[in-house]
Amino acid sequence: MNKSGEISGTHFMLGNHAIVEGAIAAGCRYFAGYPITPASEIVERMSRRMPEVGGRFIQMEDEMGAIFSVIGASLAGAKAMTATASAGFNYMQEGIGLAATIEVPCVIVDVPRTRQDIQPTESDIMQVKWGASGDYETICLVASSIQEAFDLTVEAFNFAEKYRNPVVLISEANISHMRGRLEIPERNRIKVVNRKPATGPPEDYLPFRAGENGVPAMSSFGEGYRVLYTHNPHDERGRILNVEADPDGYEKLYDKICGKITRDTDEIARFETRFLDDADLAVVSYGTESSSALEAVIRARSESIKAGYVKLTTVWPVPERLLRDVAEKVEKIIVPEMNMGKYVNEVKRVSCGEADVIPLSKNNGEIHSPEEILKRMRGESG
Amino acid sequence: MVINMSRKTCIRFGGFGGQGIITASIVLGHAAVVCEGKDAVQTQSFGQQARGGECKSEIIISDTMINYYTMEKADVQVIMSKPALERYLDGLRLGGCLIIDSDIVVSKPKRKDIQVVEIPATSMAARMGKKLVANMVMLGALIEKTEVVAEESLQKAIRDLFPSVAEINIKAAEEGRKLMKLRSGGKNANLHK
Repeated sequence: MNKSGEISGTHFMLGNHAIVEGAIAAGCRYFAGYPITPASEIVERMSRRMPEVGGRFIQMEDEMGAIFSVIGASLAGAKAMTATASAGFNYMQEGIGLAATIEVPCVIVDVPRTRQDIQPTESDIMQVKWGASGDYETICLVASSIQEAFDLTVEAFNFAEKYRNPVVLISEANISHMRGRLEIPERNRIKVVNRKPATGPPEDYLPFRAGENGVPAMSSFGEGYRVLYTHNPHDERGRILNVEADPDGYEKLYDKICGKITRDTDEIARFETRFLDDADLAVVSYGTESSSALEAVIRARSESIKAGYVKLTTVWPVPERLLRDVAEKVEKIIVPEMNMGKYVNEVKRVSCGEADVIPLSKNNGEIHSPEEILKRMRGESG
Repeated sequence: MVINMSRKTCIRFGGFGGQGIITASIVLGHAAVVCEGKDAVQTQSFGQQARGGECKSEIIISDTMINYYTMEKADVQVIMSKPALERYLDGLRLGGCLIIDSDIVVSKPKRKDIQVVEIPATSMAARMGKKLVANMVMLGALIEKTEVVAEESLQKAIRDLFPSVAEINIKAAEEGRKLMKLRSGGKNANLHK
């Protein structure tokens, strides 16, 4: 541990703990949460680590309290995070909608679990994007290893700060509760992005005027700039605007909120591809399913099935360019998911009929075995 | 120690909550990853009880990067309760090694196609004055049998993780190694595919 309480080097670490260390490395100094299995170890470790790095930890009365506390901390200038699991994520939707509308950088870790129990699931993959009312965009990254739990938490904060937007990090229950190898680089080798601060005379500052890349410069409470925050539609000054009186202003506001993300989709897209060059069949996966998918593709190759592997790390916004390219290249795409078949419809939408998109659903709290994916590949490549 | 570079070992620990089943696997993972630079993934499942419920921990240790985290069949099982013996017996691969705490598990496993080694870990730990270190006796026996990590790495892992009670845990692991040496009459190189 260095003087500022940060750690580096090689560790054998729990996924949930790797998330905490990633947050600290990214500069997170405020955590508010309400413990829930399988996210509790994040809350527990944060309660110890935040004071060690000069940050603040607070256990809130519930999940709504947690998300609003995080929003408040971020508006006051802190990099802030909360963590929860499926049912708790439901309660946070109002806060996430607010954070997106008033453009608050923050990170929400969701550790999706099956209803009642703590098995992994991908049933909430659409909720992450569509959970709150109104027009907004979410950036969502999914970790599929212990190293990614760390790396993507850093990335989540960087995206949050760059785009002034809430970012959701998904760590499925089996990653959160798994221990594995983690390399934490020295602090000066980790890329950290900070929000663009307000500059210039206070009387000229407009807290919601789109700046570079459509993202407004941000002033923290108490810095001398006038800031007004409301969940209602608002103008560049922050004053409530009425859609009937100012339909253009209303449209412009949501164009700005959504456009800063959608325009940068390629920039935000993180993914990994293997064996695609000569593939005529691809497996598109995200999260822990990608560990089975890769193993299945490797086994398929040894059976001379021309299979390719695509792992989506960014699931929202949908990496459309990548998926379109894959669809043009292969004849069939198999999408294994731990749910009733959800994200597969996004793959279908983007493929525009260029490839036959086949859902492979499993909804019993277990990830697909490589053999189950391979069996489907054999069937489709015959 | 000679390391076969393609070596990958799947180990399952089973017992009751409170015996240090998960702790044993964490020590092993730390030894493999932090002390030896290998890759390892560990997963667990346990009941709601802090003590007495069924508890299982699985760890895969590999000299190369692990892509697929789920254990299909174990090469070695370290078993410290009767329910665990019965529940996981089918999960041990053909010719795999079953190491049981013979103070707790008195019944014999029904399979004939595996190697069975009985280690009286709990009574050894009791003789040392701390029944809690029975898990380290089993861990010592495990590394003697498999060489999945070096003895020095195990000792360093114990020192890293439990600095205030390192000595008794290291001693327990050493006793486990001796018990294994007496029983198996040497190492088993065929354990790895």
